[in-house]
Parts: sequence; C-alpha cells; structure tokens
Amino acid sequence: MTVTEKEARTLTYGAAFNEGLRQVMEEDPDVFFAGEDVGKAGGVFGSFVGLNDAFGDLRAVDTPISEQAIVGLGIGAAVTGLRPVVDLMFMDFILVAMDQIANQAAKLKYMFGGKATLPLTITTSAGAGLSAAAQHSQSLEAILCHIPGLKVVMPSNPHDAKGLLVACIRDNNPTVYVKNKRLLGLKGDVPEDLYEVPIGVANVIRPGSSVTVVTYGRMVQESAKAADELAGEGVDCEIIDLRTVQPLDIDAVTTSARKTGNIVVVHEAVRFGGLGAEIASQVQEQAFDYLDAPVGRVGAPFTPVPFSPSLEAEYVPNADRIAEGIRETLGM
Amino acid sequence: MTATVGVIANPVAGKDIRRLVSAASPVSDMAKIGIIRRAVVGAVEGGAQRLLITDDRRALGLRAIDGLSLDAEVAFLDAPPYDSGVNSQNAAAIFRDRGVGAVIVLGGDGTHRDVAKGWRTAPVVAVSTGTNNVFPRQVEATIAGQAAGIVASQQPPIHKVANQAKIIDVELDHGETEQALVDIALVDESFTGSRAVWKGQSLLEMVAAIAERATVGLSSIASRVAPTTRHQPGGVHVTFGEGERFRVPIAPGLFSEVEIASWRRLRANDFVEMSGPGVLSFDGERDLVLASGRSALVTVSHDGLWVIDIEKVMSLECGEAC
Amino acid sequence: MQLSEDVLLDMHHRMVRIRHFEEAAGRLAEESRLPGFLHLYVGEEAVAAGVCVALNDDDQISSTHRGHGHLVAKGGDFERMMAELMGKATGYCKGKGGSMHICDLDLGMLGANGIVGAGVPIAVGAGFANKYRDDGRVSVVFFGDGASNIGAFHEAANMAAALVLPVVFVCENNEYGEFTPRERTMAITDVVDRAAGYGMPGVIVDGMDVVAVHEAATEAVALARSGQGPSFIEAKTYRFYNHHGVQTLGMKYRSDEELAEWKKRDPIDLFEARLAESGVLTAEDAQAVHERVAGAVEQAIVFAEESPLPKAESLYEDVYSGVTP
Ligand SMILES: Cc1ncc(C[n+]2csc(CCOP(=O)(O)OP(=O)(O)O)c2C)c(N)n1
Ligand SMILES: [Mg+2]
Repeated sequence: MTVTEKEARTLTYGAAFNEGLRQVMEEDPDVFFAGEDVGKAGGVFGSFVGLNDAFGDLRAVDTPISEQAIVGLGIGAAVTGLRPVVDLMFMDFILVAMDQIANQAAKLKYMFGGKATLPLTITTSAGAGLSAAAQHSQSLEAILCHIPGLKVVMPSNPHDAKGLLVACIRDNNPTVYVKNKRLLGLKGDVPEDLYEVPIGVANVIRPGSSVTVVTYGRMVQESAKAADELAGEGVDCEIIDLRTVQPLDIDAVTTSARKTGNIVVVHEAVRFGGLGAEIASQVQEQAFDYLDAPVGRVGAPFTPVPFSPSLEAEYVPNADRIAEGIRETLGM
Repeated sequence: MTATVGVIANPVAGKDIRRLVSAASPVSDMAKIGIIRRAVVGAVEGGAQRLLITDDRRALGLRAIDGLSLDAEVAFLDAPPYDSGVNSQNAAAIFRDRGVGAVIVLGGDGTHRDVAKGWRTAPVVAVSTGTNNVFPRQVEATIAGQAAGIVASQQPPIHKVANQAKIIDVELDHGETEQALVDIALVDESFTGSRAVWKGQSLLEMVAAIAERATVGLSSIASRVAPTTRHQPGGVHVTFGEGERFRVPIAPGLFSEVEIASWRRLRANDFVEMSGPGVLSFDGERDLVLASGRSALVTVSHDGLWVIDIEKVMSLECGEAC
Repeated sequence: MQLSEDVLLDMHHRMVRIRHFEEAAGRLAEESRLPGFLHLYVGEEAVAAGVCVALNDDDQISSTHRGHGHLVAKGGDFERMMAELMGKATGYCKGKGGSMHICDLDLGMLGANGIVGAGVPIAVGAGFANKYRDDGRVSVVFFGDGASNIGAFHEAANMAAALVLPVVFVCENNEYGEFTPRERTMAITDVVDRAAGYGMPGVIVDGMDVVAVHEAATEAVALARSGQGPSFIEAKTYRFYNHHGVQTLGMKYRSDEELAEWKKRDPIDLFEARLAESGVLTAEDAQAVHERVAGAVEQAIVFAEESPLPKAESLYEDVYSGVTP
C-alpha cells in the first residue's frame, strides 16, 4: 500500500472515488468528466456529488443517454489533448458502446503506428446482489481484458478506490475503472492527499501459508470472511487482491503459489472463460512444479443473473462458497 | 416613441394529428427558429428600434437571434412554464400595453385567434407556420418582418396599409365569451381529443366568417354554398344533414364528403344559437365541450385584427420611385 | 365521430387497472416487500391505454424499463405480474426477470427492457415479421424521450421507414431521463421533430388525454396496417413518482409546483370527469370500477405472497432452448 505522511481518515468507497476525481481535476485543468446524470444530479450512485457545482457544466458534463457517443466523446477529446473521464452508469452498458471501446479506444494507438495517445478513463459500476436482474448486474471484465490496448482496474476498498482512479486518469492509455455497486458504502481509511495506487500491482492483503486466494473487487471482502472461517479449521489463507486485472500482476500470484502450493481464484463473474481460467493457465505454465493441486476456481454459474433474491443468492459467490472451494482444492 | 415590433411565435404550431391524417408536413423547431430570425432581421431593416419577442420553454426566440448583431434593442417576455394558447393571448395583451406598433405573428389560424383574444384590434403581419391556414398567408418572413418594421417606425394611418378582419364572437350561456377568426363549428363528439376536425360526417353546424373557395378546411365547405371573402361583411351559417352533397378538402391532402341540409347568409351582428350536446371547434380545432342543455350565441362582426397588407406597405416604402 | 361506449369504458378500465397495480406495487416497495428497482407508470396511463385500445389482440408492443403499464394495457394478468415483481416461481418470468423484464409473449407484449432504447429495434423486427407473413399485424414500440438519444432508436427508425414496416413509434415524453431534464440533453423540445428526418409522419398529442392518444394511435395503426409504413406519435406526459421508487415531493431535479401543475391534469381524473358529463359513466359507477380493480390487485398480492419461490435448480434452466449443455 502506498504510504502517506498525513494521517488517514475514514471515507466510504464512493466518497473516496469522488475525492480522487475532485483532486485530480483541481490539479489538472485538462481533466473533465461526462456521463448520464453525473452533472447536476451527481450520479445515480452519488459518486459525482458536488462536482458540477465545483467545476461547472463544461467539466462535469451531463450527456444524453448515448453510450457510444459518450465513449466516443472521451476518445476524441483524449486524442486531441484532454484527459477525459467518461462514465457508463452500469457495466452492462459497456456493451452498448463496445465498438468505441474495443475497436476504437483500445486500438487507435496501435493502428496509427503509435502516434495516438489516449489518456482516457472509462468508469463504470458492476456487480450483482441487488435484484437488478440480468441487464444491471453483470461483471464483464473478462471481455475487456481480452482486448489488447485496454487496462482494467477493479478496486476492493476505499483506499484503492481513490488511488486507482488517480492512477487511471494520469495514465496515458485507455483504462476502464470498475466500481462494485455493493462496495459504495464500505468505509475505510483514505489519506487526504492526492496519491496513486499503481496500475498492475497486486496487493497481499492477508499473508498465509496453506493456500493463496487470488481475487479482486467485492470478492476480496468475501474471501477475507472465508479466510476467517477457515482459520478455525487450521487453514491459513493468503489473500491477493489483484486490484488491476489487465495487466495482470502474475508475478505476485506465482510468488505466492511457490510459497503456499495451492491457488484458488475467486471472482463474481461467470466462471466459464473468466479471469480464473487465464490465471490458472498462467500459474501452471510458470509454477506447475510448486502446485499441490489443480488451481481452483470459484465464480458465478453459466447463466444470466437472475432477478429473484432466492435465485440470486444461489448465483453470486459468497464467503461460504469460497470456503467450500478452498476446502475442495485442499482436498478437505 | 420608440418604434417597437412585437413577435409572437407559437412553438407548438404545425405538429398536430393532421400530420397523420392528411400528410401535412410537420414544422420543426429549427424551421421556426429560422422564420423568426428572418422576420427579426427584416423588422430591423424596416426601421424597428425595439423588438419584443415571446419566449417559451424551447427558447425559440432566444435561439433565433443568437449571434445576430442587431441595430435594435431586443427584449423577451418571460417564458411561460407550459405550452398553451393562453401564452400568445397574454403576449398580445402585453404588447398592446407596451405600445407595440406592429406584431409579427408566426403560427396558424389558432395562433392568430389567440392573439385576437388578447388584443382584438392588434395590427398584425400574419405569417403562416401552422397547418391548414385560412387566416395567415404563406409569406416570406424577411419581407413580413420588414413590413412590420416600416409600420412601427413610420406609423402610417392603419387603414391605409391594413384591412380590418372579421371576428366571430361566441357567448356561452353562463356569460363566458370566446372568439374565432375563420369558422366555428359544432361537431358530434364528446371529447376534444386530438383537437383537429377531419371527419366531415361529424359536423352538425357551422358559422364561417371567411368562406373562400381557394382554402382548405371547414371554411371551404361554406364557400360551396355561399362564397364570402374575408373582406365582405357578414358570414354564413350552414347546417349539416340530409340535403346536398359536396366533396371538400377538409384538411390538406384530405377530401371528405359533407351533406348540407340548409344555409343562410348572416349580416353583421345577426346571431346563431348552437345547442349542445357536441364539441365546439374554433378555426378547425375542437376546444370546448358543449354539454346537452347548454348553448352558444354566435355573431360575426367586422372589428377584429388589423391585418397589414405587405404589398401596400412595401409600395409606401418605395414611394413613386419603384 | 363518437367513440363507442365500449371503447370509452375499455380505455377507462385499462387506465384504472394500471393505476391500481402501480400504486400497490409502490406501497409494497415502500414496505420493502418487493426486491430490485421499480419504475412506476403512474401519470402516464393514458398513453398505454389509448394506444393499446387501438390495437388488435394479436398486435405486438415492445416496452421499456417502465413497463408494467404497457403490459397491463395489453391485458396482463395481475397475479402473474405481482408474482414476478416478488420474484416468485408463478410469475410471468418464473422470477428470473422481475419488474424490468416483465413480458407476456402470448399477449404480444415483447418485454420490458433494462437497456434504454433496446426495445425499439425489437419492435421493428416484429414489424418485419408481420410484413413478411403479410398477416396484417402491427407492432408498436413505446420508448422515452431519453431513449430517443440512443443509437438503437435512430438506426431502427430509419430501418423501419426504409423497409416500409408496419410499426408505430410511441414516444412517452415525460420531460426527464432519470434525474436530468430533457433540455440538458437535447437541443429540441419535441422528439417528433426527428420523425421527418427518417421520412415518417409524426404528431404530438396530449398524453394526459386518453381520447387524444387513442385518436392518433387509431390513425397511425391504420396507416401501418394498410401498408403505408411507420409513423411517430409523441405523447406529452409526466410521471407522478420519482424515476424509480415512490418519492413524489422534494426532488432536487424537478419542482413540487411542476408536479402539482401536472397532477391537475391527472389522466384518469380528466377522463372520468368527461365520462360523467357525457353520461357514459357516473361517478358511482367509476368508483365501482376502482373498487373492483383494487380488489383484484389485493387478490394478486395474496396470490403472489403465497406463491413459492423458484426452486434452486431453476437457476440453470432456460439459458438455452432444448437440452442445456
Ligand atoms: C443503455 C442504457 N443507458 C442508461 C440506462 C440507465 N437508465 C435507465 S432509465 C434511464 C432514463 C430513461 O429515460 P426515458 O427514456 O426518458 O424514460 P423514462 O424513464 O423517462 O420513462 C436511464 C438513463 C439504461 N438502463 N440503459
Ligand atoms: Mg423520460
């Protein structure tokens, strides 16, 4: 974790995002943000509250409901010298803007022989568990990570929510910053000054010796609960919070694998074709000899996200299922 | 006195159901903004020193003059929060009180009717942006504006450059009054609904102040039996029912059969009593439900708006030289 | 032309059904008895009712996130709707879709939709199938003012006009998209101004006046059915509740006075007053309709509450047709 001199105080995840954005905007006049309901209304999740009052309509822009044009606005402004942050309210809506994200933002630099620079940040909110049903609950990071040219971060706590946002905005590449809706109210220590959490660097949030749990986003909290539960059974979990899912900090994972000999990857996204598959295969390529068991994966089943709370409870991974997955990997 | 031209632009003219039933083309905000802009440029050219313009939620007026550098003072009336005919009516009354010398009215028959309700004898340059208009003509806004500017600045005797229009007064049995400029009809309906009248079979009776053959709409019906120009005094009363059949252009692009049972000419101040149940339409728009047992007294008189004759104004401007 | 009493009473009944269903859903949500997001249609009833009464039973509609009203107007069953809102196995979507995906394909209701504007191309596809089979059916798409800013709307509108499809575009312009007023996101006031750009006739109607809506819909449907292609109706309307949930007053993005002004034109009150004046439905008879409908809603709530939750295995069903791989 980045150490800062000033003493930390407590903020929610949502407020930490807001503070990070405000501080970079104060620092850099080229930074603006745009999206649906993010201006006067302060964002549907309240993440942008107060910023329109502080920065006005030109830097805190209310857009029409036009996801393609929102991302395109960011691309065009970025390639001509500004440092835009564009918001797509729900992660599900990136699919509406996928051409701009995948064919344009991700590839311009390469296609133009390196001439274009795209300091663009796309912010969005993912995650199930609110009975928001199949089109407002998805975790689609695997799709984004599959596209060369994009960076993708998924903070799990208020400290990283602020620091990763700052890093994304200052990065000269298109980055996708994914909040988790159910973390917005989570409180934690957040330094007051402007700081970065570096992109591409994982964080060992709990050292352990029996098994490495590789996770990110809200599943970090659930994995920590599972680890507490398993501690009583004599299992000492090491938890790695990836924080960035593209580029992947695979060294952190393999280093830990060499130590514990067991890996379980946990994510909220659908298991099939999820990041767990990529991590498992990289670990077996690089640390096969150290593994005591096949890499375990905990993720959502291969179905859309259901509406009914009873089905959704069955769907979304939680501490119990994570603990179960770990036990399975450990042959318990 | 400062030569003042008023501009009343009806933001909702030209978007009603006749777009569906009769292939009338819709008039977009952008088209209206262009018309206002040209009228304003013309008015200043004609000599207007001050312009008073209506505003609305669409900010048509504001957008129309955006970026123009005008050699005149421009003021806007406060934008009313809702679209309503009352807005044009109120604007006309304000213009009267503020000494406006000529009013450019952009709208259809309904808009001009609203203006007359607010300022019965307003001097107007009538520019059609509505649908099937009998009262205003199709004129280029630039010239219409210029004529208004000339009238406001040179203040010629109004009867030299304008014709006073007829007006239909309606008195309802509980004392309320209403006006129309072209025609008023009682239709066999219970609802005002989408307002327009486009079904000949629904007509019960009508009074027309203008019954000219070359028009579209209800006025054209009366013209089949008793043609009456806008300049002749009096009107026509027609009742529908078994009788003589006519095919008439009841709306643009839409012909309909009507059957006239009887008709008579009305002299100024003759009155006709129309009785409910039915819906009264004013200048082709269903506007008022007349319940059974209620009635309306209808008269045609010749003391309405002063309609500025652009041709006459322009020759005044050019003098003998042109 | 007088509308028949049957048609008038039918429109009234459909509006009252929507109102009572929505008010009840709002109460349940307030008591935390409904999961998820709830976008209520209260205030806009005249649009769905006026349009759907102009349709045949086998015509189709596609809908929005604010979709309960459309389904009720098309004849939706209270019990299955309420059960769906509660996430029960007996619901229209077996509890998998909820409020935002409620549908009844048998009634030609092709689904509420969580993605703004996404229902527009779907209705155009239904219109294409209708033309393909030459079966005289018409599809209607309901969408919001906000939805008219999304690419899917524009692409679908152009396609419907280019392929001369029997589709009616019904824009419910309630002046807001979520918490942002229309004028911050559009340089035009009347969405119908866009119709001309695609070569469609378009009309504005008073969306608080069910007769006005019905007249326009009747004409538009007739055009579509007779092979003259799509047309566009913009209904000026207003939602009486917040974007979602049941807050009415004290909202930052719109004033209480504005709401009060619109509420004076409550579409059901307006219509009932006219029906009473014209002797079609007395105030007492109207009251009886309300009571009957309210009773049916109460019954639906009981049905829904007593219904079972979906079985856990059902999570894995319905992903594919046929055998799940
Ligand atoms: C593609 C997409 N973008 C954004 C949203 C979030 N959202 C849900 S409803 C809504 C506003 C829709 O406004 P409008 O179309 O006018 O319908 P109304 O809610 O006013 O009925 C928005 C932005 C969404 N569901 N889908
Ligand atoms: Mg809306």
